[in-house]
Amino acid sequence: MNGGAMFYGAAIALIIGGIMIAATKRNLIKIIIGLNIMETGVNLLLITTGYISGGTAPIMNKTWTKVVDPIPQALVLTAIVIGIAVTAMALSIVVRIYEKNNSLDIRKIKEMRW
Amino acid sequence: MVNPILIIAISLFGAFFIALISPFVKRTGKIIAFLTIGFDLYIGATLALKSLRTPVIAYTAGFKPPFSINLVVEPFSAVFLLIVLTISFLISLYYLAHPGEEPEDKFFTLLILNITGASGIIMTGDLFNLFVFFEITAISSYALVSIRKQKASLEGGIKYLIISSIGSSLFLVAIALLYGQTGTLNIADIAAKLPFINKSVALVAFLLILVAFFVESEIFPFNGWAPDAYQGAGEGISALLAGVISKAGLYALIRLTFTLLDLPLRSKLLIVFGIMTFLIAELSALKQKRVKRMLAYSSIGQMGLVVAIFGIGTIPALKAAIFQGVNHAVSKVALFLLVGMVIKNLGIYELDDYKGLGRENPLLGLLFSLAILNLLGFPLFAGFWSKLSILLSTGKQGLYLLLSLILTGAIVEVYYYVRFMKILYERNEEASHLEIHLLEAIPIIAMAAFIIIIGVNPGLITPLFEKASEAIFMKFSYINLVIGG
Amino acid sequence: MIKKVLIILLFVLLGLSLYSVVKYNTFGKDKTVVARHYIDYGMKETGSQNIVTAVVVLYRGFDTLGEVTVLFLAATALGALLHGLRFKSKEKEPSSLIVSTAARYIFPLIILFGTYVFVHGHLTPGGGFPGGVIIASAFLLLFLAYTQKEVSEKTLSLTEGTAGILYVITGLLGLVMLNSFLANFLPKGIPGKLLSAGIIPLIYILIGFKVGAEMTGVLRNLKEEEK
Repeated sequence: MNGGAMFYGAAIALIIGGIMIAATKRNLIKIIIGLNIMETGVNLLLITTGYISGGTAPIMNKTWTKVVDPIPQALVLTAIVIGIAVTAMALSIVVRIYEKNNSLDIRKIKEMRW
Repeated sequence: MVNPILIIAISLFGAFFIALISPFVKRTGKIIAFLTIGFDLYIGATLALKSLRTPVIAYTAGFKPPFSINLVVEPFSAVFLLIVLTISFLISLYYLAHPGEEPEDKFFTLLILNITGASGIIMTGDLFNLFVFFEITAISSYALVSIRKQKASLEGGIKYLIISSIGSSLFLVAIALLYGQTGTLNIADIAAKLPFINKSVALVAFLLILVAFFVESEIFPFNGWAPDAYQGAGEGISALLAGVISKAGLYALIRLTFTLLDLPLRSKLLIVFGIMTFLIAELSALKQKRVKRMLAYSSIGQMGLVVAIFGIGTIPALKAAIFQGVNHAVSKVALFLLVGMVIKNLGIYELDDYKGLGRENPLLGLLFSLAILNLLGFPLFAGFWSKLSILLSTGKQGLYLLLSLILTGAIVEVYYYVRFMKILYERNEEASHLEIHLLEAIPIIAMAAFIIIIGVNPGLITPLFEKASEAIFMKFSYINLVIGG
Repeated sequence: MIKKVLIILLFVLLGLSLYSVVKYNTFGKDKTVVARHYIDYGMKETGSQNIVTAVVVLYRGFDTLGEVTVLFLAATALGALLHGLRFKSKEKEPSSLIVSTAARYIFPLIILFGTYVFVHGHLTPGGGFPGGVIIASAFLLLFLAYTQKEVSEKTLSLTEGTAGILYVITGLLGLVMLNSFLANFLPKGIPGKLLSAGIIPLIYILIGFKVGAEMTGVLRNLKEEEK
């Protein structure tokens, strides 16, 4: 067991929680929120892999001896932006669905069958 | 000097350029897209040919990997790059004669970006960069599927989005795991460090990656989104899904399971899930009354077949899988584009409404038949050689159960496609006549020519597949190529 | 039915990930090769004090270009999907005097702050993306305070496109001059000064404009009632 268990555990819990919400809720907006929570969990997981005990932010304007890993931070920066983009896309599709069906219930849009 | 980066850079330039001038000059998107994609094809073809002799590597940022991101074009990537760019170019030709979805300028921007993403996936040598380009492809796909704004398109789009987002997040989890173990993001570097990665972590990362790219490659049980997306999208976009997007996903799947995490479990998983996909999809296609959905299931089935053959893993099998992938792309894209022409002219969607169309419009009927016969693997067509190599390579490995399952699926395929062809050529006085625009027909005729020429002389193209399958089989050549000794 | 089985399988997989990562990925361990290199030599090689910025803009600049593209994609897709939307609009009541007056004074301050953030990306935390978003939030304030406020789509589109093209050109210049896309071809200067770190401030400024324009466009598309 190591000290990171709490952070890793929280991250995985968020991911699992997010997927559960996306999979079981009927309201489209809630599904999108679930996806968002899941993405947040993944970002947390990424950041946690970069932590160095006793390190601080990787900005070299004083004489630090220990800084944390800058790579996961760069990755998460990108991942957050991508998450925003997906959410925005999802919302625009949902706006259109609402316009067509007057409902946000995912069961109502299952038009296509065999 | 032809640099792989140019494909990405010029495409982005084209896309941003459309954004720049579209408030002032309307309807420029189509032409710019056509020119950009044409340019990409030119660069891609040059690169591909060059890479057969010596693989091409491009560095970015002035540093060498693993300290920077690099692009790699070696024979295996070259084949996929050619498939993706050629099909994209043919689709953009089709759109010169066919109205793009509304709003047109934005539609073509999305199209360019989708192709950029697919090319990026194929050329990149960095794991996180793969994720970024994967997202570019995915997001543009969601938009391209939904842009018709009909109920079906929106339904397909949102389902695709939800399932694919979950897949991408799983991929990111895998990246986090692998980075934690190796400290690097370069594909070749991680591949080299595979012996030093903890076995459990490697296994979990492998499974996560498998799930993520099974979603994109339309493999059961993660392909719930696919029939709806194919059906709801505009026909040119369905063609894009079949010929470009799924192929990029397939490339990533193979690259990551053959080079990055070369685990023995791979064979069984690819074969089992692949063949399940094939059988279930082909059986579902049988029941379809609507043409687009039938083609969708057929497409999914073919992807399953290709994945299963990749799973066998021997060089002859790899060659067969690549060949079949090419044939599937060519045939499916042709079929979807033809259906697009029918829908544009006649607005019919049901199988029965196609009665007699083949008789009344000989060219249409001929093109339909060529594409279908190629898909079924009739002799004298390219599809014959790929189906044959599939059967041979399966048989040679002694996998007789797999062989019989493939034959079963193939028989089902023959049944519903021949049924379709029968309908096309039935006697029907009321069958309508189609206006076929030359530009729309050119891409399909080009594909038909390919089918026949390769059918008669497969040796024209098989050396390419030979090199490609060797390249992916020998992962150490890739590793040495990128990070040296 | 299939869905439930799949979900459970996913959870098992994720649970296994948790287990393996906790047991085998040491937490707080020392940096490995690549990160080590970035930390030890980053400032020397790039001239930037903020190592994360150095990684984002230079070492992994290609990723950032992809990221910028993703945002562009989202903005374009939003515009495409919400094109011609008809909403039954509710009568919006104008906001109170306090909000509208305060907004007028706060707006330029937020813009200034956003600009500060992205210009100083190589010296302090932040950079192009947060800076751009801050600027967009200033516009959001304006949209909320003055419900009739319009921002012209032409300006936004023009900004987006130009910034994007300039970014690609910067990369191509690196290709032409140093044979490597997005290589740093401007002088590195002295770390710590505003004018240092080669192309980093330039790129972050471009990103700041682009992100600001895009996010404002997204907000505008979502708020627009009748087109």
